[in-house]
Amino acid sequence: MGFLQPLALFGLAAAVIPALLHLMTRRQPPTVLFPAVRYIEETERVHSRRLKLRNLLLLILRTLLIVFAILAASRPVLNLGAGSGHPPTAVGMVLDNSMSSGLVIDGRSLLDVMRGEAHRVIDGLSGDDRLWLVTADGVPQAMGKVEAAALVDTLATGWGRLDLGEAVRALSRTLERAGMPNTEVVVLSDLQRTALSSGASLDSRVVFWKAPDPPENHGIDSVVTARRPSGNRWRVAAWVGGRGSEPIAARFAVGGQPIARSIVRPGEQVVFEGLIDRREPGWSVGQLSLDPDELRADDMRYVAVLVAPPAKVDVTASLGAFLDHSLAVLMDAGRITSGSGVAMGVLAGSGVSIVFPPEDAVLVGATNRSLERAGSSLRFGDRLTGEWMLAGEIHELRGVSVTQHQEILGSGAVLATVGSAPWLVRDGNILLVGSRATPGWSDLPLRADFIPFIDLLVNSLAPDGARHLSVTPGSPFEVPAGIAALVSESVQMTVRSGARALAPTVPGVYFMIGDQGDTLGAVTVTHDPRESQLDQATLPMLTASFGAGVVAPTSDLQGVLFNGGGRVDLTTLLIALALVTALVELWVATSGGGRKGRRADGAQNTLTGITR
Amino acid sequence: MNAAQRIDLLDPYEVAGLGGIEFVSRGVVEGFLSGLHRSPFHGFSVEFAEHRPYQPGDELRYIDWKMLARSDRLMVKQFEAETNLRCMVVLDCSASMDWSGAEMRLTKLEYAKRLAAAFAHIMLTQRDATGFISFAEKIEAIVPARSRRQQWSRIVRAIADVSPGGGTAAEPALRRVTDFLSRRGLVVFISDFLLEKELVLKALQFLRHRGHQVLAFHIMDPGELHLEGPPEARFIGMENDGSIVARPRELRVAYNETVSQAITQWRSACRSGGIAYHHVTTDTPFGHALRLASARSASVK
Repeated sequence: MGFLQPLALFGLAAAVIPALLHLMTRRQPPTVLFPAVRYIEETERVHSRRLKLRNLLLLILRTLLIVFAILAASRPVLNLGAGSGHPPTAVGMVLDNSMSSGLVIDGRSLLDVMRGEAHRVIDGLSGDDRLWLVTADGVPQAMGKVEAAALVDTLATGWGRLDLGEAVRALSRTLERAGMPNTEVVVLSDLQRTALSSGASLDSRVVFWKAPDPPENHGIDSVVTARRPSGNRWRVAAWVGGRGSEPIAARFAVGGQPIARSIVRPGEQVVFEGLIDRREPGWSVGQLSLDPDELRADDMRYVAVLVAPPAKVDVTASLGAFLDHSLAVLMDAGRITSGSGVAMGVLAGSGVSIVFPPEDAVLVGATNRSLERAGSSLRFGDRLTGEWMLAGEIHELRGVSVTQHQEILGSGAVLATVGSAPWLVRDGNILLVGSRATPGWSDLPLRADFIPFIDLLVNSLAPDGARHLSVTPGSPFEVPAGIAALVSESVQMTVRSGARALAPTVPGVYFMIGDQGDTLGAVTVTHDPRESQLDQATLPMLTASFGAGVVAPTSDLQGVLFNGGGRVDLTTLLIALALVTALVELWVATSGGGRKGRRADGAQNTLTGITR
Repeated sequence: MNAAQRIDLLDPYEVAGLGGIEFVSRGVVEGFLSGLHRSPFHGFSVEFAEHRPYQPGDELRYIDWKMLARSDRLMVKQFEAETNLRCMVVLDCSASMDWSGAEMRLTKLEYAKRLAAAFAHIMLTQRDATGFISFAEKIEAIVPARSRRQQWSRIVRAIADVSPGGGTAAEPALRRVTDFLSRRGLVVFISDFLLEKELVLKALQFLRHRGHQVLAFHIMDPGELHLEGPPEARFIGMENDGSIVARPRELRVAYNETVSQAITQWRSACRSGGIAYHHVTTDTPFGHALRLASARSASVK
């Protein structure tokens, strides 16, 4: 027994209306002057017992009438139980527990609502039916009713994304292989448009549950982090997706410590720049969060933050007195140390290299060959002379005048330009500088920003060698070479270097641990932004995706499952009972009270009690 | 004079609006008598005088059948007025009589006054000595029976002076009638019969035993026949006879039965006692009420 419109049951409170009316109308009746009171008294004396019984009967009938009407409005249905109502059917059920199923509507998560629907579907299965269940992992599993009910009960909202198109198709193929004459796919999902993927039409009948209309949602679609010059300055840019015009508070914290906050509107970008207050170098976990809404899962995103130690610099060729002196100053200040971390010279090494043009133009070829050996696509071209100004986002290079530079060819990240030509370019572990650090090439060595620029060059702009990966929960990714494990505060996963692995299913920052136990990088597991887009697919979209077997999404699944079999709708019966009750009430009311109004001669007695 | 012009056949409320009791009663009686061609109350006030040959148009009931058998001639009996008949009109003017169920309807008392005046006028027209008694808790007014010319004016004045109020004590008033009717006479009792049934029946039967003809008019407003009103109301009696909360819609049928039963009981009780009983509602034209009484009078004589 169930109700398709259970909210209507609140109307049962109206069943007390007849009793209330009875009590209310008893209060202080109007007085009427009437000479023949003795006849009324005589009538009451003779008929009081019958009248009381009649009134009680009327009260019961009117109460029943309201109860029947309210029950009919709540549309009760009676499940006939196993083995009745429909032929043996291979049933596939998609229960979408992807991240968006955590959406809260009217105080209940969508998954909770779908759980109830799933139980009703399972309860409606007969002993001859077979069931396959698919959750957000997309893998159909055959199971019995008890097992399926237990799984439904324990299923929690996941962080991953469900490709609904692929899941339904996989399920349909499985059902076809079952060899049963009737197949039916039941989809319990929020029917996100972004979850629909195109594919072949299906032969199975596909029944969709109609989820409640989703509210407006905002979420963090993507995050870009960049280490800024001068060591530990970081720039975090996040794009906030969703609809709406209300401003949202955005916060950035590192290691649980608030760093900055800002205001952003859906569809805009929010940028945080600031000093990460850490004394010891190393990795930290950053959290970018928005004001919560009905879908909490996409309101927070993790970022991996690396505070690097002072760069180890190895000067492999003479780059001039200005550079030598500036490195000495930085070494004295503890900003750099001597070592084999960053090689500075005119040839590219196997590790991180900052390459300047050679003094002698004939050595450019040797430089380019070293670049080729290092696997870089960058090359030095012709040496150009003229008068240019450096341009780019690097503050220390603003206003620098360049009189000579080596043309840079190949593809890489252009960090500064001279005229329209690249001047400072990064490609992998290689950083190419277009001019030597001598006054004959530019006035940079003569400027106060020279030493800060060199600090920036070796500590920030040069590749740090750390590896950053961003993946979605549970998705496959290729483990970088030399990585033996992924570690977070609560999880430790062993991985095989260079093999494919499945990303952790819970968002967070997972540090890549090398064979020697060093932290070599971080894998940021974060939600798929498509899960934040809650717009529901329409019937034409579903039909286009799955074919003509699609049944229009409905909140009354029981009414369309198995073509409506296996269930009895009690609404008509209750309406009939209400009508019969109304007729009986009418008969009792009129037969006991007499016909109203007019006498045979047409006169009407108003009984106003007129005296003259 | 056709029916539409005869005020005895018009609605009592409209008729009452034409003038005072005297005028209305006179008009009602004139209309009533002209419709009958002859006095309807021969049985009360006239005696046989002689025979005359039958003429077409004569009423068959006045043919002397014995004469026809003896002499084979159709002869009609002729009557002459009896001057020694006495009539007392007894009118109930208790508080319950002062009630009407609708604006456009006379109260029971106003209706009864006009009916009493009309009856008195008929009797006096036949030169019968006619008197009048009104009562409520006690006897309110007495006009001894006379047949003088001024008697009609005295009775009309007494009727006009009647004012309603108080309870109903019919039995003393009816017994008092015997003081004014020392020999066989006619008593016309007009009341709403909301009174002590046993006592009143005894008094009426007492009058019958004394040889008087008794005509009883049971006056009711149509609003008393059919219970109407709000869904629930407190019905208050008009003669300090208490109150009761009732639902007219629920009681309607049962009330109708009770009233019908009461009327039937009065009728059968009166009939068994040789009393002419007439149930009249206040929307009945006066002419109809008088005709009813004249038709019944013959049977109870």
